Amino acid sequence: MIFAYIALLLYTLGIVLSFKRENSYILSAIGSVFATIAGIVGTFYPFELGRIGLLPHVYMSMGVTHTSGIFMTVAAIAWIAISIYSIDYGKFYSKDMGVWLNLSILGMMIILMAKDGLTFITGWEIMTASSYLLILKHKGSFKEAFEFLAFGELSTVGLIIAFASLFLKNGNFSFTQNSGTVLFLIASTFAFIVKMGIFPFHTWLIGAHAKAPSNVSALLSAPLTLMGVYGIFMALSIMPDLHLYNFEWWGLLAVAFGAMSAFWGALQAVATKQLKALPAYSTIENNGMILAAIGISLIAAGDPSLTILSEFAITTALLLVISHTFSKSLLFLSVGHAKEALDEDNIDDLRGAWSSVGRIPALGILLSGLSFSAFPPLIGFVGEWALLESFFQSYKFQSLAARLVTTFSGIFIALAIGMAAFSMIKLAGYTALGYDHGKKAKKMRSIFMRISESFLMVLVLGFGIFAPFVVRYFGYSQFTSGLFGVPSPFLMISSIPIFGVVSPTFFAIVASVLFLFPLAFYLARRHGVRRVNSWNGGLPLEKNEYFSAPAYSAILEIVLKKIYITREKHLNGEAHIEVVDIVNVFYDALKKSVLKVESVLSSTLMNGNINAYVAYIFAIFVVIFLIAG
Amino acid sequence: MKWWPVRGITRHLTEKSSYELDSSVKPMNNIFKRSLHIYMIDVGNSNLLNFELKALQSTQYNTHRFGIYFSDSPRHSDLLIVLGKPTEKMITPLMNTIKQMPEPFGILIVEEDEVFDLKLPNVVGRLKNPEPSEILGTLLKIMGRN
Repeated sequence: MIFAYIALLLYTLGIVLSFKRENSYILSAIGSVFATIAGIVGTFYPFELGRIGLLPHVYMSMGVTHTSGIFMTVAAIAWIAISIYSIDYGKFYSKDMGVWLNLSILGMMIILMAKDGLTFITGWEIMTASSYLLILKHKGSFKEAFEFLAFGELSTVGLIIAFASLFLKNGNFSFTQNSGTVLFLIASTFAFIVKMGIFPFHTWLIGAHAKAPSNVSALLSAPLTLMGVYGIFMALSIMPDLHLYNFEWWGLLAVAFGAMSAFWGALQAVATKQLKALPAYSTIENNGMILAAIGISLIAAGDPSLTILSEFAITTALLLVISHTFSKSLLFLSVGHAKEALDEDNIDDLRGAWSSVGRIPALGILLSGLSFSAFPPLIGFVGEWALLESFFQSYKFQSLAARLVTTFSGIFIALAIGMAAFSMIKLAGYTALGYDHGKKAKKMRSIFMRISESFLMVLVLGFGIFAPFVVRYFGYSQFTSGLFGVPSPFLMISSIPIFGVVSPTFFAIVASVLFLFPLAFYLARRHGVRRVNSWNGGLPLEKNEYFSAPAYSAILEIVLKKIYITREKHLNGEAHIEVVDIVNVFYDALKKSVLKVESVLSSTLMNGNINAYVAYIFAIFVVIFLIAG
Repeated sequence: MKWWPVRGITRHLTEKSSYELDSSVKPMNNIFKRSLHIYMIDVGNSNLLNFELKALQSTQYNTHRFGIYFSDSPRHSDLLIVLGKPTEKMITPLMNTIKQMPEPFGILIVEEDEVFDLKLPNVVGRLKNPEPSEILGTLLKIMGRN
């Protein structure tokens, strides 16, 4: 309990002592360490932080439960990495960035500890507003920041409706067992999936993540969308009677939207050419997979004989949460490091980061890319294995609708996982492992950036190898076992009786032993290897003669012409292939029509003519007078 | 009928009747006894040497019967034939080409009147204004066949 107080105090101190840049970042890093401890303590021994009464029946209270403890641990570890990274990275931006970073983290902490609607919405607004100001720190990002704010407030509207319905039913805002209503579930789910960037509410995420400073991108992508996931967990935990077939429709919708979102995110990630838009689309994909796993768990929760599948799907969602939070923070931080050092915006222009920027950021991009490509034994592999296992078990469902939806969604999820690997090869292969451009990196102090990236790399690898212990930490020790000569608890099982098994620990051991032979061979023969450039008739390769990143994905863009709306554009004598995110077309049309209505209204109603204005006020007064009277 | 075609038939006008191989040309490596792949780079000659090299592949000389082939990439070749004296712009491509040659490899320098003084690695011989038969003889000696 004391740790949570210390964490809150340190974040506040970080806001106050922001006259020196390092202060606020160091304080938020230390505060996040305490938040991690508070999360771990709260997971095992849930505690209360007390309550403040505002009105009769209306009070604000905070505390940590088992679920929020898990989420706080995961989020706080990402906060540590982001804060440490910001000690170096924050120097490129003004001093108030530290204030907003601390405030944003404080808001998230309040959300995670909220025990009632008022506290929750307070934290939500603090987080949204300060994140908006953080995005604005990057020059020329006003449009994207405003889009972020618009969608953030859209989710706040959903939350207000949800908590109002909570108040109508119970007479207070507190999150207690069986207090939820159907309207609460619908409205809050809407609010949370907007925050998670689920298709078709994902457009704000791309612009905001691509334009924001890199530490802010990591904060937005991993912990901020995590708040949406936590919100769904929280909303479901206070719904009554999950064990009747009441909420199968919710599960079906979640699976369908999640699978669609995963597919769409992966599809657009393949085609994107912008450096930070690719991880942003990958965020959409991962959040879609998390939502689908929650949906599976809710469908299974309706059937008393499928409790184990329901629990496994929850474990899956939590594993995916960990995988996404750590790997995506690592990806954004490493990409941001390389981007800042080389001052480039496209994937193609960042080639040779391995030799020009450094080994650690390049390895960070590579490792997180491998994790998202489900490369064993990294944490991403464990999460995606569990997700596919959950989908394979959907044959156990009784209703036809559930079977059909999960089968077709499973196809989309599998496609998404495959295409995620395709897009991550594009990102890691061209930036970290690509041919060197020979471009010199900008000199800057990067020791804390390197520390933070190495810290996350160890976590991505370590949590993957020791995934069975992570599952035990979640409290689902029934899914770890020992079989086939693997000692307990190093084997993960996906159902009881056993359906599928995997042991990342032993995979790592076996693979590393098998890897020793090629390694020894390589080390023995290494000195005889001569490295030369590609043969180009004796001439050096020009920049446009390399096999570029757009060329890598062009094949898919041309084959799936109908989905991407691929067009060839000619610019300065060069031809480019351009793709469109079709959802953006809709939002652009909406934006245009709103602007048009606005301009018409401003020219007719509020045109600066004093007579018209007085008449307008008078008319409104009369209308209100009539209605009120 | 004019008389000179008869003279042309009876005498070898375009070819030296006999030549002496340069004693500095040494067999390159035992492994090329049966097959030698050649990459030719023209770094600046008056086109005369190109004709002589081209003649090697014609039916008259038919180098293929000895296992001598011309390849399209230095990465597939055992011997690099450098024709002429390098112009300023061709020095870098020449060096790049040498970098691409797989070990073991040799370089045969074929010059016109102008002699160049670049320190190239693994030079196995130098020819000056050679006839096709002289080049063929040199190649056979490099292969270690005579």
